[in-house]
Amino acid sequence: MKRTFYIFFIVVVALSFVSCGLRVPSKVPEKVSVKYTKYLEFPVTTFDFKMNTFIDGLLSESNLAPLTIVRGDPLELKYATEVVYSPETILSGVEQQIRDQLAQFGQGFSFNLDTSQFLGQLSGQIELPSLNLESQGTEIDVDEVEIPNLVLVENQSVVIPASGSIEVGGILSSVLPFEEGNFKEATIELTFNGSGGPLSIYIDGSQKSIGSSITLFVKKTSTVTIKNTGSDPAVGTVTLKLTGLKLNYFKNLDLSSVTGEGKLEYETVVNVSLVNDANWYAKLGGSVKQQIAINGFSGSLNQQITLKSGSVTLGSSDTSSNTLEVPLDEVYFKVSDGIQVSGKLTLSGTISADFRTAKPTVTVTPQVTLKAIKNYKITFNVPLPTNVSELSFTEGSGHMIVNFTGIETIQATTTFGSNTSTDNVVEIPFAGVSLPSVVDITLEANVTDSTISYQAVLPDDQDIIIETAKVSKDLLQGNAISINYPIPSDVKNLVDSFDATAVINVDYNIKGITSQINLAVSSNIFDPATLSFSDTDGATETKDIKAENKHIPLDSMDAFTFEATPSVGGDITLSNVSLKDGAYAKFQPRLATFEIDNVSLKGQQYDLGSLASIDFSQVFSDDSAFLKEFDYDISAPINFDISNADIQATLTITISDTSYTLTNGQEEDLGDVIEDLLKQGQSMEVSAKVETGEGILSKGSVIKFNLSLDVPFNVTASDSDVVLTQGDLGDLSILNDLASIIDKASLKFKTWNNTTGLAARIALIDGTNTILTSDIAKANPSILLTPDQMRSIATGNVKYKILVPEGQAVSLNYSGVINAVPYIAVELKVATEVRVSSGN
Amino acid sequence: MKKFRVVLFVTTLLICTFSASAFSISSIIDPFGTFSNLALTRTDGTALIKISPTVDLQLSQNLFNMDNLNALLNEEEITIDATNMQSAIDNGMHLAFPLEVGAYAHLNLFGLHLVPYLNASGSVSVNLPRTFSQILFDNTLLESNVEDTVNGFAKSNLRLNVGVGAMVKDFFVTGNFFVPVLYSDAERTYAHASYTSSASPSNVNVEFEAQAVLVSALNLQGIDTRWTDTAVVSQELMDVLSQDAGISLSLGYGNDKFGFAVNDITIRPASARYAVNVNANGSANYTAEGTDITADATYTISDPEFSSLLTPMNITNPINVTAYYKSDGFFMWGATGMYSLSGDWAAKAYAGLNLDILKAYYIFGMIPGFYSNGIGVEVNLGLLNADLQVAMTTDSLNPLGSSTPGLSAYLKLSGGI
Repeated sequence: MKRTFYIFFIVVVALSFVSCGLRVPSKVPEKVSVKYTKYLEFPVTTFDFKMNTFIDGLLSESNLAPLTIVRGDPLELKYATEVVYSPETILSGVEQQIRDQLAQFGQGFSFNLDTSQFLGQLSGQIELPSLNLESQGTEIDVDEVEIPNLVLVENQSVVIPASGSIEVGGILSSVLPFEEGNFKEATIELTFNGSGGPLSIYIDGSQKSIGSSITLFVKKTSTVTIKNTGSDPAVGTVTLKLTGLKLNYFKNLDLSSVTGEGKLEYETVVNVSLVNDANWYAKLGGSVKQQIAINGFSGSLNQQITLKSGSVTLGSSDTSSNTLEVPLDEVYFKVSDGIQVSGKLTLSGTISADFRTAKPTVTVTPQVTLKAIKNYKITFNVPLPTNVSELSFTEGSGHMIVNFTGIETIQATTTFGSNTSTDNVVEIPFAGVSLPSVVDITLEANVTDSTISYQAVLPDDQDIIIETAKVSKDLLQGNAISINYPIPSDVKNLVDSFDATAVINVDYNIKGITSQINLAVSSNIFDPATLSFSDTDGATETKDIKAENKHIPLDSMDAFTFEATPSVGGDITLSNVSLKDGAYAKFQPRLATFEIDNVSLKGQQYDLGSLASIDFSQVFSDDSAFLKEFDYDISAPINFDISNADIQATLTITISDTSYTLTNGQEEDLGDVIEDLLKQGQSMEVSAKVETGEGILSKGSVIKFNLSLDVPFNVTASDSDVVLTQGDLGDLSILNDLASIIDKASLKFKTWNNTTGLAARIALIDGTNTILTSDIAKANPSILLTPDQMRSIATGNVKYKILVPEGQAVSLNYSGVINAVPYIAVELKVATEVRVSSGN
Repeated sequence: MKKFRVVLFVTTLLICTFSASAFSISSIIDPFGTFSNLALTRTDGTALIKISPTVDLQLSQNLFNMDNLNALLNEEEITIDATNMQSAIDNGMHLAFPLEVGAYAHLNLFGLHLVPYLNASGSVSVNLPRTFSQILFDNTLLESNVEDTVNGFAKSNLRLNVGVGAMVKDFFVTGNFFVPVLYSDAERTYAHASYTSSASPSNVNVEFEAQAVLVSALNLQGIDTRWTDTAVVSQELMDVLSQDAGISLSLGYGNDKFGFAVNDITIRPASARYAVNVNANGSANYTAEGTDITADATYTISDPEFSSLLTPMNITNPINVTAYYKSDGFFMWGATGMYSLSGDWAAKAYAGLNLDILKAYYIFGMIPGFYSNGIGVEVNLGLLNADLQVAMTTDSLNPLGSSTPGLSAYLKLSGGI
């Protein structure tokens, strides 16, 4: 038994010491050594750099003209020009003018009086007005909650020593109806009856003014202290109240203790404007959503809303959520009245809210579609047809019907002239109507689409008869063509004469017109002629205006001319014409042939003048000056070609006082020359001269030269580092202190997205000594800073440089961005020793 | 400087001590303190009269683990990092001083035992929000969001007890006057701290707010100068005892084997007429977007504000029940437990050898979340007795590894016949 006890005793003693592990010191410690290490990540900033903003600020478009900036990836500067001499192009300007004016003449000189003319005017597409479905919000006019006065102390006997204070204790925890709150207005009323004093009030250690309205933040845990600031003891009774209380922030406010009914109610009204200035009615489908937003709200909320338009009720509902959707009753209401969303917001129970920075808001969002329209007006103007000065229909004329897609007509009232028709379809009665006139349609219809197409038809059993129509002679004759095209100076200088072949086909068809119509043509290209047009009974016929292989010398000619003048014997009067039969005259002239041949060149030199003038010293200056330091791969080829002609010609290009003469088929690339000018910041002046021998350019012959310049910003720092920006770091002597406690600091990036094409390096330099360099171009850059480097930086006179290192190729991508979220990762390491004894 | 060295040593020794607030594991089973049962005085060997002063000091902490404690005591390097401070990071920084200093006398008048006593007991503890230790010791990463509120972060229930117990056979009753020396106002004592960090938008925000409200039956303002005169001290104490002291009763039963007691049955609550408040708050904010950077920081810490209370605060101690079972043979062992209506509980068990003039034992104690392993020696020289107990405690069942040890010291002397 004893043996067991001894074993047990030894075990428990051993256990005791194992559990201890404390090494008792041999002497009282005289110093304390502490090593504190901690890893800290601290956000620095967010950095959003957009290359387009940078480049737009860097390169001025006006300085670069006539170069254009191609905003691509990479950015490019481009310029191109081409000069062509050929029979096809030599008179291309006048050819185009003739085509344009003939097309205008065709439209203006025709007139048309048949069914299609009116069906076209009464067909088309309209859009129903779009309803404004944007959310409309308004503030609820509440920024405070008034609560009854609070009595903290009433007629309490006190004895407060001189300069002493007495604490009201935890009275606020039982008196305040909220956990914490901010009174935007509160008055502290302190009544002291007795001797001594005066007394002052402190709440949470801060003195508060007594008897005037103040802002006051209090909690149930706040401490209220009455201080005797006098030199004699204050003996008497005190009453302490908070009055005139208006809360603009509260947490867990018990409404049952501050309001009679235990709730707060607010009226809300939001007017939803659907369309402006509409006199029609609509049925809407869908719902209206209302959302209540109160800063910092928690607690019980109820909202009740009624939707009305004028006196028409469209729906109502309620919910205990902050979002309420009320379905709309499909009844007609006047759309311009909009929808009035009237609501009542009820807060009850124990609630929290913060009105300090914003009032509560109510936001109404209509989620509706148009189901039906009523009293909806559609108006068409029916004008007189082109060139027609008078038009009336017989009393015996019938009607057209308008068919709709997008709506299903329920009832339509249509007026045209003095006629009115009411039916479940749209009928347009033409009887006795004189044009111009207006068709007014008042519709009630179900809506199936927001886009309404309408198409008029003339029923088979209906006919519409023109009683009288007059086609105006003056209107017809006002459609004359007159072209006067000055001959370009370069053409006139280089060309002696040429042969021209040109044909204008005038297609026409005339029906129901007995009067003769004439067109007189005079031109120095076309042969003079007078064309006569008569009734073709609707068939299409053609007459021509020609110039066949006409030799045209330019030495006595300053301009090409062409005039076509129509003439009619008098006004054309029609009567009793059925629209189904119709009466019309339609003209469609067109330039069928325009050929230049046998262009005879004079054989002399012609100066084309300055093609481009760019001052690179202006383009690449100040912030963009670094761009001159790069090596470019500039392409600037010049081509000079003469094809299908046996003519001696040369082109002389002069670029900033250096001339290059090219003969037929020769090509020269001026890229290196331009790069030199760019890098030296000089002006680039480009001019050209053409010199031709005598000869003939026949069909297919071309003399052409072109210059294209392309400066892509795919560049290389070939010879040395290119400094993008640099400056002084300023006074960072604080780093001296940090160096002793920072083991390692890194600038890292939580996100790093660089699509600019810039591949740069950052360097910190002290004189000739490079303290730190780091590549910030790679995918996830990180800059490590050691304590030694910090000390070097702290010595001052340190410059920072952001540069493109020698040999590095970079590009400027216009759409590029740098999105960076840098942060500092610091490993703090503080090792210190504190001696607690002098060692004696 | 020598004095300072001693203070340092004592401080470090105190730092080594550990237990939870209001938790005493010091004696085998002490008649006073956590497992209080007056009937246990019957076994202190008193034939006629005995006087016994007792000192029970403890300090709990979760800042220093064993390695750092040894480093502190032996002039080695203390390493403060996320690993070593894991307990503080996980649970917040705790610091607690439970203490009991007092004496009792025991008169055995032919079977009527009278036990008058005087002691100061209770604890002072601080439990800071985890946010502080997380910011100070843990790795602080981007997008960190930590927030913690501790209501009653500073707790105190220090009180002065004067009383007398009467015991006939195995039954006893105790009448006790208690004076609140320093009690915390749980409702108005709180600490809140938060740290939020956001990379995009770039923002760091640190906030803290704390308030401590302590109440006392003693006027603490100027007590350091006022209590230099013993006449003033005794007068003020007598005034407090007569006016503001609370009255409580303990009832119980105990014999050589087992016993139980119901303590702190309040007859009259004590009154605290004085208060001291301290407020602190501060915030720091950093925001940046591009090169637009703003940073600001403010803080205020109020001086302690002393005042009297307009309405004295009633102080009561929750009723607790204790029980024990023990065997005092050559191989002695026992167990005891305490449950308070406030929800606190404690238990311990011991075993050892009893050679009459010398007792040596191992003792294991626990309260929620904490464990203790201790050894004790009691010497009985007849007229004089001495009981010394030293215990090491940890916050985990395994006392090794990263746990933060503490130490408690208990010394009871007694003399008499």
